[in-house]
Amino acid sequence: MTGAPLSLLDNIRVSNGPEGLRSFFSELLHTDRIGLVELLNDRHLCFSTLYLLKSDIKSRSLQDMLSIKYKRALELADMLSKPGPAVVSSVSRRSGRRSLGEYQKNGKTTVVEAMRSDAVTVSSLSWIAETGWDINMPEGPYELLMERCTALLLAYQRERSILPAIADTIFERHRHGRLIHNLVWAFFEAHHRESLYLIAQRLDSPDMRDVILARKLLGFIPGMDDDREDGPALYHRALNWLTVNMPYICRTGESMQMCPKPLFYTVSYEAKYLCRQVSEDSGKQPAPLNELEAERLECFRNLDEPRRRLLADASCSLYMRDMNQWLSWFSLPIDDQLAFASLMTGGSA
Amino acid sequence: MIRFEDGFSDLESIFAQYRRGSPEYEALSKLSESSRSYVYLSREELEFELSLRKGIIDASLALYRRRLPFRIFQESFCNEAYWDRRQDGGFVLKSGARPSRAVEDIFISTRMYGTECATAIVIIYYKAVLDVYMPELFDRAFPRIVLMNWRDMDQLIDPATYRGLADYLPGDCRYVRNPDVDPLTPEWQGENVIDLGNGRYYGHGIGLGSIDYFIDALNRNRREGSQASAYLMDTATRPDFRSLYLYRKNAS
Repeated sequence: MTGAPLSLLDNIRVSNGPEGLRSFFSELLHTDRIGLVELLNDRHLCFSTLYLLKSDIKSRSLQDMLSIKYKRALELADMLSKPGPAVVSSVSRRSGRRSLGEYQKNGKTTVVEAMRSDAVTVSSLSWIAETGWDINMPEGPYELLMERCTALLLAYQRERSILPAIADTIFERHRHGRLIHNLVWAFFEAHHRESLYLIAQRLDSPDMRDVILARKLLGFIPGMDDDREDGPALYHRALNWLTVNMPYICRTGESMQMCPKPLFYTVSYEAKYLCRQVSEDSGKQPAPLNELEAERLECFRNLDEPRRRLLADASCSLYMRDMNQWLSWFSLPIDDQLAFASLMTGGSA
Repeated sequence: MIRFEDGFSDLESIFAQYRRGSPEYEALSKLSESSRSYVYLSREELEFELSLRKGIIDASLALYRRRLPFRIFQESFCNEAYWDRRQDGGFVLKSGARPSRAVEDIFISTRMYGTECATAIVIIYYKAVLDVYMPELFDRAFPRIVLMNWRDMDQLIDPATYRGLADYLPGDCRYVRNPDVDPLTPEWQGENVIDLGNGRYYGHGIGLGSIDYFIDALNRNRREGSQASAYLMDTATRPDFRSLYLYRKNAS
């Protein structure tokens, strides 16, 4: 979305608004139909513009003249748009929530099946998600459509290539006071802890609203709620923390819907102590432990929380500094490990 | 166990105020029998917390009985005599509207409102505080109200989330998470539920029942082929009982 040149139709939409765009479409339809089709197929076109012209394109039977990606995008827009509450199951009747059944009727199964077997559908959805989020577009059904396309890509498809664009969108919408809960949820549903760097970048933003949101989303990093630090210092501290802890953090499942200050990730101190990467989803070790690791881990689990944290931090620090020294240290009995760790930090265990 | 900073120790006299089986009695029992130590400034503070917990439960039951409609934020609606609907789906107290009257209206003209489960919890908290504070104090304490989600809640209520607690009490807000929710229906990604005591919970949009009832409802809205069940998270969100207590104490 950022950096790409705008197509002529996008420029007209931005300059003259939706009505101006439709007038231009109507005029060109009569004077230069071929030129109009070329403009509609511009590779830099944004989905938001195509969406605004959807009914005009259909009424003039131009959809078959669109590229397959754009044509599919319009089909997806129809399938995934559904205004108003559903009345299907007993729960949804009572609540007004949509049920799975409704989406099956409205093509959800088709979309998911298509995503699995058809690269065009994924490509169209990616194009929608990357170019369709626009703060000037009307809310309501369009916003819902955008949320659904983004969620399908991130939660079903784990399409990580769109994460930078979605991070931009989250912060832009937040600056404009728009709803971001479901977008943030979808962002984390990509199950990609490295994408946290995309959020950390905003800690150094000149716009305080970005900094506030970044602090909130990275609330699991110690010190993010300390207002005394900001700018590059805050950013670099978060960056260092993420670099050190990245292999050991896992998702908690918390969300903005759930509580006021969700902690989206947590450090697995067991993994950090063992210096073994942990599964982002389960928080478990992906490979079995050897005998020494299993033995040390059992002792580790019997310690209280401050001592577990002390050992985990010391272990990780030693591992990063000198692998051989870490191997010698790790083979020591846990009391000796604690004594050494305590010396490292200048305190007592 | 319960400890009072002012030296009070006659816990039996507090138990005597509540009916066995009531939410207050259940909360009191859990606090007093816990291996953890709960410290209160005074008997009055503990009684205030129990009243507010009961208020949270009563407000939940009232919303359930009056069938507050569920709507996602994009489709939320409110009685515009008291509230302005914000662009993001939240409701802002209308200029000139009396806060207590506006909150009360949600429980009177309930069908004129529709919103998500997080907003329902916010409404429940305000109503519970209103019932404990009474209108005059409530209006003074909350001249500006935004009903949306946790973020916009008044600093005085300042809810906090506690993780891995030793004890969960009636009036707590718990969360049932649906890890494999269908991405097209993110409103089913989880449910904020109020612990009503006796193993029953209220969740806006799903209803009233045991935790299994909520888990079943969420499981019916998972993506195809999912094997991961919804589950109750090991967390509880609570308003700042002490701040609310001290505000009332200092106001009287």
